[in-house]
Amino acid sequence: MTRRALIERIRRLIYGEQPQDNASITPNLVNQWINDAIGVVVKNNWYESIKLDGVAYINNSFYSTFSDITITSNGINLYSLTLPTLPIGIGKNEGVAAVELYDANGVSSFPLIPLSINQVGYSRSLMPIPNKILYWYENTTMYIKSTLPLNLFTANIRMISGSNSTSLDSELNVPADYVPQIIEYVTKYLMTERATPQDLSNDGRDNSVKQ
Amino acid sequence: MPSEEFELMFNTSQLEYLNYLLGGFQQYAPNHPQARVEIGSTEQLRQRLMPLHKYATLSISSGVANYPNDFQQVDSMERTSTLSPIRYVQQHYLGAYYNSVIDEVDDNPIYLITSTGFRFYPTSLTSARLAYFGTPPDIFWNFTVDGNGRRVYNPVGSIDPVWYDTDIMDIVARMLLKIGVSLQAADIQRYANEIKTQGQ
Repeated sequence: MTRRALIERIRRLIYGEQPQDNASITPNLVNQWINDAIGVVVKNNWYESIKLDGVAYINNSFYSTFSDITITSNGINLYSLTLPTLPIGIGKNEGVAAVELYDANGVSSFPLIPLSINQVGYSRSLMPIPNKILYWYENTTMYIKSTLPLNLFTANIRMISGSNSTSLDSELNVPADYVPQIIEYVTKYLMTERATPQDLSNDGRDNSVKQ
Repeated sequence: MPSEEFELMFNTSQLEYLNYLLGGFQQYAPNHPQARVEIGSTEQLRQRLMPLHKYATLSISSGVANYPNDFQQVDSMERTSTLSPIRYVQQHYLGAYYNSVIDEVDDNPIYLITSTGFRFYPTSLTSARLAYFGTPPDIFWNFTVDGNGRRVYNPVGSIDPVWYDTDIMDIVARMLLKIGVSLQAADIQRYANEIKTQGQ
């Protein structure tokens, strides 16, 4: 199901019919709420996996692989790249599942080793792990420590992503059993917006709450 | 009744009828801006107004386009290329809509109404398709004068009403009210009884 299809379902649910041209709950607004709802259902999947299997993991359906990400130098033996989306706040750093580097011939490295922020500081005093490259991310910037010239490589990143949030025609990366949770989350807040009294008078005062 | 008076009565009555179908705002209740009868309520109401429904491609210059000459009420406003809607915005919402980061105005244009026409944002918009209800044409009973000085109907140059027949009846009823003719069954019956008892 594409984002656009889900957005239409939600809008028709909220308006009880096809929304009019002047509907204030626009597709772009619903899309913003869907991004939040995806984070919520990912977390629910995380908790349910602990309950069911005793092990915390996120179902494969939520993951996407982003390819050919450019790496730039960010100092001595430090490189950075921009993540395609802000990682979900699952665990310490489980929002990013795997990072691999590719050279110009398409040969890939082993997956890089993730660090949590607590580990970044004291890892500097540790002996380098042979043939392993360390990384961590802050917000949407990923930092990679290496003595190799990584700016000659590109990165492939596998991470939790609800699909391309900037394209309403992208397929939603959410399994069918979690779509109702997304709909429930989004409609709860949008119905609040719809039910709030409107300020119909143009008199310089904010009358809506008092009406 | 001379034809000029008939035409005047009919033309004012049809404008009243148009106002009634569009939704007289005098019927609004506080916090409930909806008339008992107004355009959009049902398909049947829309059908009554269809003889006045028109399309116009607006030429927009620096974000401004004039009203069509016979413009009465907007039905819808769309982009000419994609037919995606151009939303109507009231003046005190302009800042919120114009500066929205979720529905950026470049991809989600808006318009306001002014004294002389429409104002569009973004101002780079060059055209828009307007669907609107126009002013009904004034009817005119054209005639020639025969040898006896009587007026004889001449279809050439006459302007017929554009309404459906059922709506013409409603307009005529309004005309008769203006003249003072009562169509209430009780009044007609009382008058008939007076004629019977008291004579003409």
